[in-house]
Amino acid sequence: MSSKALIGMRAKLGVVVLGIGSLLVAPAFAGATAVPVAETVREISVESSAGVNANSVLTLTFDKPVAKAEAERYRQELAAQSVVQTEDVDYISCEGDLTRSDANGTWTVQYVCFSGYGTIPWGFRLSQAVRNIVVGLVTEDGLRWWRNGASQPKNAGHVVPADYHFHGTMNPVYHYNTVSYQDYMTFRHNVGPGGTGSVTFAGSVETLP
Amino acid sequence: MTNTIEYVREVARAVLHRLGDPAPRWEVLSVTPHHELHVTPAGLAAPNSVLVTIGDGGTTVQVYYSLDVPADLATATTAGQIQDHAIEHTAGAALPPCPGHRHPLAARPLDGVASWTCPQDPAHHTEPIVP
Repeated sequence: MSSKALIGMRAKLGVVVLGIGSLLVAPAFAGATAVPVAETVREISVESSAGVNANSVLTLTFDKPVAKAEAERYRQELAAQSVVQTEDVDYISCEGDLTRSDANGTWTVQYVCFSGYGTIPWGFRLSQAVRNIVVGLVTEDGLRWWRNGASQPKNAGHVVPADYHFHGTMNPVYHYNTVSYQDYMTFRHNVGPGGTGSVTFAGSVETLP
Repeated sequence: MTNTIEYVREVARAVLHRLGDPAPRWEVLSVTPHHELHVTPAGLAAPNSVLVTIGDGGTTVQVYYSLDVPADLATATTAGQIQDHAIEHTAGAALPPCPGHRHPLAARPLDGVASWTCPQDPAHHTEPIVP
């Protein structure tokens, strides 16, 4: 499986367009008169996949509009990271662990079994490429997770340096559960004119004895 | 919701009191309904939570109290989150200490009661998180 890059850009007038593997820019209109295609963008997104059941998205919003060619260069630099090839479906057995890595970071989950229940400790680290563009601290919202589709207690968030090893525990879980998870981090970035960035990572695992 | 907010405040205060020394001298700064801002994965509903902010003026940390699960689990989970923050800020102190052991007590629901309990043997020591 190869990495896919899903690109989103917000044109000057706020129109959002999405494309896969290419740069798209929305046409802009002023009143009833059509004007040339917008030459600047305010936002880029790079989605990275480490398998069907694990992916992350990096979104950068710029304080000032940047030229679309410049934005495309940023996107290519951010998307050109190695991706670990993984199985399509994540299963995890008692005392087992999984590591998933993509352009935006590396995360691990473990399945720890006790008498009658289990827990899934998890950890996440931003990739060096993302850490390089972070200015100041990263605000982690707190991991949200679902057991067989039902919302479970959200993990605590953190405000920490970019090299922090984010972590928490999904607790309790049981055999043959489908566990989905998602976390969201925001930060200031130094790309181009600077702005606000975010990384979302998400995945799901099925627990086995 | 008012009763829930007050209950969550009581939980946070009880946990901070129980952590004792050398835990940071944090106080409960605010307890408010939490509104999720971010899109959830397809087909999954956003969690319903109360946001608890604690700190000492210089440091603030935040934890959640879930409105989606029974109160004993929600209470134990919130206690565990406060405990994790405190342990992290003390570079690994066993807070609250398990009597006679080197590990901290664990926050768990036991028989419908949110409890501090010995992670190895609940019979060794168990006490309610909210006295």
